[in-house]
This record gives sequence, structure tokens and C-alpha cells, in this order.
Amino acid sequence: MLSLKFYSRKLRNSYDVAYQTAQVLRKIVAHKKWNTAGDLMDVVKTVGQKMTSAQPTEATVGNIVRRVLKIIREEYTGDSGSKSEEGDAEESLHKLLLAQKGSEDFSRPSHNLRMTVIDSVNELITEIESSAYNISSQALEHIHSNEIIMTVGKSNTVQGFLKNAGRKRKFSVIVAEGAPFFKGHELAKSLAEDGIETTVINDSAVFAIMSRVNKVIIGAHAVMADGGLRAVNGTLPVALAAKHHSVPLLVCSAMYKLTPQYVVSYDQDSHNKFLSPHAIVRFSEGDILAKVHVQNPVFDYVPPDLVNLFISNIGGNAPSYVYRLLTDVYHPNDTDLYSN
Amino acid sequence: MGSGVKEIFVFCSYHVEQIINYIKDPEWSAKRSTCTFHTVLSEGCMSLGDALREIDRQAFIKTDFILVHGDLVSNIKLDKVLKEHKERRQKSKSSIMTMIYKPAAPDHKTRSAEDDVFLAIASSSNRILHWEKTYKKNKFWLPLELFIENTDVKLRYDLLDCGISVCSTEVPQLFTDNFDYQTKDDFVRGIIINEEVMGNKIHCYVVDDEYGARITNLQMYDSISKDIIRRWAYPVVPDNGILHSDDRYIYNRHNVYFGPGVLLARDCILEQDVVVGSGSSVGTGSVIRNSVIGKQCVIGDNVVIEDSYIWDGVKVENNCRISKSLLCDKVLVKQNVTTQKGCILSFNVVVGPDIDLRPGVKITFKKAENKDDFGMGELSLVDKSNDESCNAEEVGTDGRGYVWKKEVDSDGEDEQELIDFWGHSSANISEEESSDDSMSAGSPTSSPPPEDAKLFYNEVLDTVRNGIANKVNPDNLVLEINASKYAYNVTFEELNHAVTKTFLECIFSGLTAYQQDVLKDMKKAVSHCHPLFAHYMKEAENQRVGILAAEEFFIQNEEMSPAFQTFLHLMYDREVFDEGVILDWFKSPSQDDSLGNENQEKIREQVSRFITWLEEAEEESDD
Repeated sequence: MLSLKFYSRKLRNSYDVAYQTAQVLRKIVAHKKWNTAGDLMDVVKTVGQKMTSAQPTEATVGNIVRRVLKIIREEYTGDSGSKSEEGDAEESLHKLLLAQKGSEDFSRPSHNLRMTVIDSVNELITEIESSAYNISSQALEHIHSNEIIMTVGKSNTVQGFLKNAGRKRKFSVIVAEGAPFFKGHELAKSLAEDGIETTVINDSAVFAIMSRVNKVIIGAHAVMADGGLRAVNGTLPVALAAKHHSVPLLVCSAMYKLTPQYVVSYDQDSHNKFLSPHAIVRFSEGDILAKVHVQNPVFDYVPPDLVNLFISNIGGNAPSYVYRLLTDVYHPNDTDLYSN
Repeated sequence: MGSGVKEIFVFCSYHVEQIINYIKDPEWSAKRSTCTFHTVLSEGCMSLGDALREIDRQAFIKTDFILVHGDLVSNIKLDKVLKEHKERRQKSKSSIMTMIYKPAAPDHKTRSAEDDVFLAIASSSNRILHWEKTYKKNKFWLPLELFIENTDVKLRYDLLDCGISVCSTEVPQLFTDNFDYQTKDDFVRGIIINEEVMGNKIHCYVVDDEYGARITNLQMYDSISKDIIRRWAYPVVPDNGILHSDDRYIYNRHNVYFGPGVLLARDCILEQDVVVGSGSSVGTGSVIRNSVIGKQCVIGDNVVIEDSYIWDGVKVENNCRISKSLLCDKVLVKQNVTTQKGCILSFNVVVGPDIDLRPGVKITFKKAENKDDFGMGELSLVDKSNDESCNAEEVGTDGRGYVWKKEVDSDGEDEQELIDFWGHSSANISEEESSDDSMSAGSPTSSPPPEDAKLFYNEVLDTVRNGIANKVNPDNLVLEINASKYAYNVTFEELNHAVTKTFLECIFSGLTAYQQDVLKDMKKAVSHCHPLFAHYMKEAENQRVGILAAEEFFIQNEEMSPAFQTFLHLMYDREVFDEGVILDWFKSPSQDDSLGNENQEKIREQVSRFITWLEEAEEESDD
């Protein structure tokens, strides 16, 4: 199952994770035995708990599970014809509050719920598949001719975004290499192959170069509920340098990365992933390894006040608007997958 | 498993039930559901060699397989190795094994002194040309042909054996053919020595950025645990749920891990590299550093624990100081106990209160025979000491348990026990065809009883006498001697000794006095039989044994001693004995007092002329 794929490190990026999770959940909806929407939600929740605990830093798994739970809720209310919840596009604050309180009755059987839920999950999968395209198609609105763009490491979304802009416009990209994984090298190579003027710099040179940069465009691993980012390490220095030089920082991130969770200052370590230190010190080094501690974290946390704009597959939004997007895509009762 | 392993065989010899129960645990197997599991039981299996012979006998491995031990910790992805191995196999059937090595500096903590190896590798093909254990050795002999035949030889002493080898189906067969092979080391040595004869080759694969090591002894247990805590084996780390999915550890700064439900007093200090298992509690004022604490442990107030491993259910009362020790399951340490470097308290032992344990003390519990306590089986063998009440001086007034005394004159034995003690550890991290044989970790080839050696000697004597008299082809002689060797299960050393001595005995038998024509006979016999010697005495060590045997013979048969010099010369001419070995032997002081030094000195005087000649020849060649 999915957890097995995590163990064997077969899933490489959040797109794969999102896609596979949705596939697994669709299978569960189709093949598991369940009678009512309540049953189904319990099943999906327990599977979701298992999958998230297999890899707690992959927020995307939980997000997809929440999306599916929300789909079930919607299809159920739509199906059973209770018009009260259907609501117009602009729900009032008052109504939102009521919705949190109201515990609905999901125990009534509903005959073609299975079909409608599967259809909606299929839509979700299509959305996941097309999100990269949708993001990159907005590129021309943000990247103008002769601009200098900076990015760090390698994000597939950012790569598509830049390449799409590069087809129409001429601009140059500066890539911070993103030690110790050096994914920036890969990105630079692939951009250069597409004819985009590309420069690779040290991570330490970011501040010096920042003064001549017009925009910083980065990817993220997850977007937190307050608009903060969990992104590859080396992103925070870039964001701080951008703030210092008043360079706008854009984040390209699909909706499935949006997480109803927060990073709190005292517990940053548990939101991070610490890899084997071999990328920093060689294991063959010998005696010295017993005397030092080497840490190799994967992520940085970038607070929301350093971010200027999120570019997601449904358009551009400011960090302060993220909470609203959250209520659009997730049901408030599903925020904590481990509660009953 | 990512590498497409389909079947896993677990070979067990001890604690079979526990292993089977573990594997049958539905949660564990569900996670690894892509493979099928087979458990192979063999109670009499004492070594890896036995296990592989059993595998060959039952013939259930039809394809190439990956051989790992139960005590392996690794995160190596095997795809590349397998691919390389398969490509090589397609090119030539004779490359039968690929071993995985990892670079590590000689002073590296994770290198076990016992397993250190010195390798000569052909750098283009990664073929292992020479393989030698370096434990307690300072000098190595490399055959000259090695450099003549290969243009690109790499000599490496910076490699750590990961304990993973990709084997082809021939490997179990070879173990069956050579039933003196006990361990993989024997096997590798045998294959490389017999390379010209058998044509089999062993290759190596060096991994750079992945981790793999075997817990062969207590020291390795310590350093591998440290490596895991310091995340070298990522993703095999406590917070990843890869070992136990049910209890998930939380990772904190300075490599401190907590299981669920850990109770920490407000002012206890967990400094660095600490793991605290689920349901354990630590009292006020306690300091823990570089240690692992198991599940459901209770650590009292003002306790200091450093560089120690505390297993599950241990209770440590107030004001104890535990350093560099190992406390097994359900040990109770009462107040004010101090343990020092190297203490081991076995299952259910109680010590204290108010006692200082000396460094290196090992305490076991009386009911060692109890089969349910795994790991105790080995210890019970040694635990035949006092059956009466516990010695209060040793374990404290309320203590329960007995100091396990080392057997006299067994320095190596001690180490051996430690190895055995650890042999059973986690059979299950290993993912592939795994052989969990507690004893395999370097158990010595048990030397046969003396009667066997004597019988063997007589048999070889018959063979050689027959061979010289009837001019039998030396190859057939080798076969016959090999057969007797296996029949009586003697070591190579004894074999070489016997071959040389019997050879001389044959020539001089029936003669009472030294005669000139005996030299002629000898010359003939040597020219006939020298392939036999060449076969057995390839290594300097074997040659030395041969020379010593010859010396012994001439000491015993003093009247023949003038022939010794001629014998040495003949052997030197035929390139059986190296001049270096001869010179070394001559310089080395006499070892056997029983034969009398006088005779030996006489003998050596006899050959001194030949030695001077040799030395001169060497000097000349140096010029």
C-alpha cells in the first residue's frame, strides 16, 4: 500500500504523493464494504490516520484525505436533498459558525452515494493532474520581459512556471544551488536546455545578489494554515534577503499542498525531517564522527509575513487569504484526523 | 524490498518460536506483504556454512539470492548491486558472488577490529584479487602474480564489510563441496585461493552514501546504535516507525527521542543521543546522556546514566550511577549502586543496595536454564558456579544473581561469548534471505580430537607412500588427501604438517643410517611430488608450517639431518618454499621446547650454509 511505497522511497514529490493517495482512497470507496456516509467517513479516516502516521511530514496525504472527506459530506447532503446546507457561494460568518456546531446525521443510507463520491474523487484526481498546468499558465501575468528572477533548489511547479514564461518572454533566472542536495543544479540545467538564461549561485551569495533581483519565485512543500511555508532548506535566507531588499516573493504551490495545520515555534523539529548526515560529512571520515553532531534537516519554515503572493491552480492569493481557501476546500470538522 | 525481492527465507537455529511468532505477527507481515516468507528450522545448525549446506540439501533456492545475517542494519538500495551482479553473471558464469563494502577510515567506530579486512581489487572490474583478515596482524603477503596479471590493482584498507552479499546458486553448492567452510570468511578465502583451480570469482561493490553494518559483538552494538541515533541509517531511525509501527518516537533537538507516554520529571536532564522508550519515566535531578532506555522503565531520582543500554522493564532506584553498562530486561538496580565500564546485568538480575560493581562484571540470574528467557541459553552453559545463596558481596544485600566468571586461559573465549550473546539480536530488520544463526559470528573451527589427527596422519602416510612407490599422478594424491582431510575434519595447518612429515617419512623409512643415495631418491621423489606441495603451500603461513614439520622430522630422526639442507634447497628450487619464508623460519627462535634445543640448534647449523647462500642470492638480486 501507500505506506509501503513510503518505505521503499518510491514516491519522490508531493504530486506523486497526492496522486497516489487519491488513487488509494478511490479504491477504498469503490471496494470497501460500507452502508452509510458515516461508515465511509470512518473508513477513510482510519486509513488516513494510518497513512499520515507512516510519514508525518508529508502533509499532502492528510490534505487529500480531508478533501475526500469533504467530498463525502457534500455528496451526502446533496444526495439526500437537504437544501438547508447547500448554501450560496458567499456563506456568512454566522452560517460558518453554525456549520461547525451542527453535527449532522450521516447514518441514513443513500443508494447512489458510492457512484457520486467516486465521480467526485475522479474530479479531484483530474484537478491534481492539471494543477501544474494551471499554475504555469499564469506565468505570463507575473513574469515580464528582461526581469531577473531568483529561485532556490528545484521545484517541479516552479520549473514548469518558468519554462512556460520562457516560451514567450526573455528573462534571466538566478538559481541558488540548495546545498546539500544541490537540486538547483538540476533545475539550472533543465532551464538552460530550454534556452532560458540561467545562473547558478552559492546559497551564501543570495543576499549579495538579491539587490539586482526583480522577483523571487519559490516552491513549497506545504502551505500552513496561516500562510507560512514549509519549503526546502535554504528558503528562509532567501525570503529574509528578499524582505530586506523589498523584492516580492511569489510562491507556486498547488491547492493540495494547503494544510490546515500550523507550525509553532517550540515544536519546529517535529515538522521537519532529519536525514542521514552523509550529505554533509562523509561516513568514511573516521574518529571525528563520534565527537560531533551533524544535523541534516530537509525543510525551512518561512513565516507568512515574508510571503507576498501565493500562486495556486485556482489563482493568485495573498497569505492573509489562505484561511478562506481552507474553509473552501476542507470541512472544519476534518482538520484533526485523529479526533472522533 | 524496493529491489523486487519476492521471497524471504529466514533460517533459524535458536529461539525458533520467537522468530516465527514475530514473522507471523499480522501487522508486521502486512506491511511487507509483497513478499512471501519461509522459515527454515535447523536445530543443529552451528554456523553459516551449516545453514547454507542445509539450504543446498533442501534445494529451495533456485535463483540468485541475497545473503544477509539477522543482525544487519542497513538502508542500502540493492537495485544497482543486483543489476551489476546480473550483468556480470551474463558475461561469465564464474563470478559467483558480489559483496558490499563501505568506505570507512581505519579508526572508524563502526569498524569492528575482528572483521577488519585488507583487500586487493582490480579497479576496472571490481574483482577481489586478494582478501585477508587483519585482526592482530601487521604484515601482509601479496602474491607477485597479482601485480603481474593485473595492470590496475587497488589495495584498500578503508573498507567496512556491510555483511550483505549477492550470491548465485553455486554458493550453497560450494559450501556443500567444501564442508570445512564454516563462515563466509572461510568461503571467501577458499574461493580466492582456489581461483586458478576453480575459476570462481568474487566481486565487490562499494557503496558511498548508504549505510550497512553488522552487529557482531557488543562494541558493534554500541557503535551501530549510536549511528542509528545519529541518523546515519536514515530512514531506519526511531522516529520513522520502520522498526515498530505501533509506537512512534518523537525526535527532538540533540538527537533525543521520546516514545509515547514518557514521563519526565521537571528538572531531569537528557543531554544528547538519548532514546527513551514508551511508558518509561525519569525522576528528578537525573542526568542521561548517550544512552538508550527501553520501554516501561523506571529511572529514580538523581540517577546518572551515561553510555549505557537499558532494555525493557528495568527499574533503577535513586542515586545510582550507571556508566558504559548493559542492563537486560527486568533488571532491578537498588539504591546507590554504581556500575562501571563494561558491566552486563542479564535478565531479571537484582543488585544493590549500596554497592559498587567493578568494571567488566557480568551478572546472570540463577534460573538461567529457563528456556523462556531468550539469550540465556548460551549463558547457562557457563553458569555452573555456586548454586547456594547469592554472594552478598557481589550483588549487594538484596541482590539476586551470580557473577559469571570467565573460564581460565580463555581470553578469546570471553569475546566469543559476547558475540554469542549478541547473536540473537533482532532477526528481523533484515529484509532478504536471512540466516539467523546465533553462532555463526565467527565461531572457530573446532579442532578435532587428537585421535582423529593421528588417524589422518596414518592415512596420509599410506597415500603418500603409495604415491611415491607407484608414481601416482600428484593430482590424484591431492584428491585422496583432501578426502581424508574431510573424513577426519582436520585443519589446513595440520594437513600441511602431515603432508610434509609423511613425505619425508616415506623417503627415509627403512633406512637406519644416513646414506648418500638417499639424496638421489629424495630428489626423484620431490620432482615427482612437488605439485602436491605447491597445491597445499601457496600461502606463506602454510609454507612455514611445512618447514616446521620438516624440522620436527629431522629433529626426531637425527641421523638423517644432513638431508635437511638438500630438502630445503630442492623445495626452494621448485618454488614450493619462498626464500622469505625460509629466512624468517631460520631467524625465528625455536618454539618447541619438548624436542630439546640442542638438537634444534644442530639442525639449524646444518642448514646455515644454505641460508647464507640464500641471503647472498637475495642481496645479489637486490643489486
